[in-house]
Amino acid sequence: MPQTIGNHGLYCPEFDDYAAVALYMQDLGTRIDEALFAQQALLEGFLAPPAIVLTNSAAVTILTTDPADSTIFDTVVVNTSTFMTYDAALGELFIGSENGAATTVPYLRGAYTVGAGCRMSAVGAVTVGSARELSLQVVDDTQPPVFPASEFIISTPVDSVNDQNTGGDYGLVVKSNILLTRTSGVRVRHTMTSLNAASNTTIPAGSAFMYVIYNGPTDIVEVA
Amino acid sequence: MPGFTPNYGIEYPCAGEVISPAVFQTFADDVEAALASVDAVSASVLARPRAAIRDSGTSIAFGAMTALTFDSTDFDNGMTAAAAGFTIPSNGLYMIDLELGSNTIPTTVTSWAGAILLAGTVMYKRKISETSSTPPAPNNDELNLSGLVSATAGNAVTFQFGWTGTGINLVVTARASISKLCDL
Repeated sequence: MPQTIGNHGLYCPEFDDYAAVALYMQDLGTRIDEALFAQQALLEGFLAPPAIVLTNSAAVTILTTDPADSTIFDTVVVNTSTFMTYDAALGELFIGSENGAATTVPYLRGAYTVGAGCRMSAVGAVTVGSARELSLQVVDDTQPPVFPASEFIISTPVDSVNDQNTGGDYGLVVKSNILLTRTSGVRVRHTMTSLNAASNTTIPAGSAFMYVIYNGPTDIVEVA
Repeated sequence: MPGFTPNYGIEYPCAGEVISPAVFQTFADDVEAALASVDAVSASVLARPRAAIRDSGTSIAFGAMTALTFDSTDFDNGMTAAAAGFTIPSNGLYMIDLELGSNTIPTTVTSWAGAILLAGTVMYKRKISETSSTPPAPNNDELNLSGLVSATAGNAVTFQFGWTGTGINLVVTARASISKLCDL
């Protein structure tokens, strides 16, 4: 009767079981191979967590007549995930399946970091004190709506500044950590706003970024 | 004719082969090599490239964005930290943070800005406007910014500060940190 060793499925044969030695070594080698390969896969998964980075390959103009733009990004710089996509027409980054679609691409449950940055400059004159704002919204449409919102917003990081006509461009950055624990897809929306009434505002090509990175699974901490 | 396991090539005897001590030695050597290869990955996980550097005070005149110069290293694990910033050691996604502060009180301050540059290109910038032309003392301003960059080995990560207003130079203190999050 072989004796079990440890908790990785390894065992050793009985002392007089010489005929089984070759088969035993094959089985032992295979089990060691499998156990190590599984450990290596976990480690390599930690070294390369799913992530997606977006940018704008072309300059974007925010008009004085339409001061908020939510379709800034048009280029995926890198996407190491199998479950995050960006819909440039909608201006929405999906973690998991798209909103309203069947859940065919489940996301990894756990902690994520979302963030963005952009620079914007008035094309001409500046309305002193006019606001520049960058905001993200992480939305799970399957969560119960929170009054008065019609959808469940997990996080809304915002950076806002007033242009005092000091010259040059204004830069804004936002970052937030979120916990996703459900099944249906989550949307990450962005809005870049300029309330400069004196002239349009431009976001130069390659000066806006948005990213999502998976940090790993985590237990849900319930606060009484 | 020996056989080999699929992932690490651990050699084992097949039925009918003579099993000598050399067979056991080869088996053990192969297992050792497999362990060593996983050890190498494990070491990478335990020692992700990350570093932080500090600037105890750079005198910067109002006007253009100016490169920051760092004079000490808080820690450096697998990065190349220098006075100008960091050098990316390997392709990947990196989270970079910049903290800025100053106690200097010039005549007027109308804006503050910090920037994170990759290979000379501004990736993230944060600029704030002063609502008061004469900032209070001490610690009249702080500014933090951070961002994720997709970088390749050898890229330089540098930092800038700029302000508008009038009066004496601002002496700016800064701390920059970087952490590799993902291989590419």
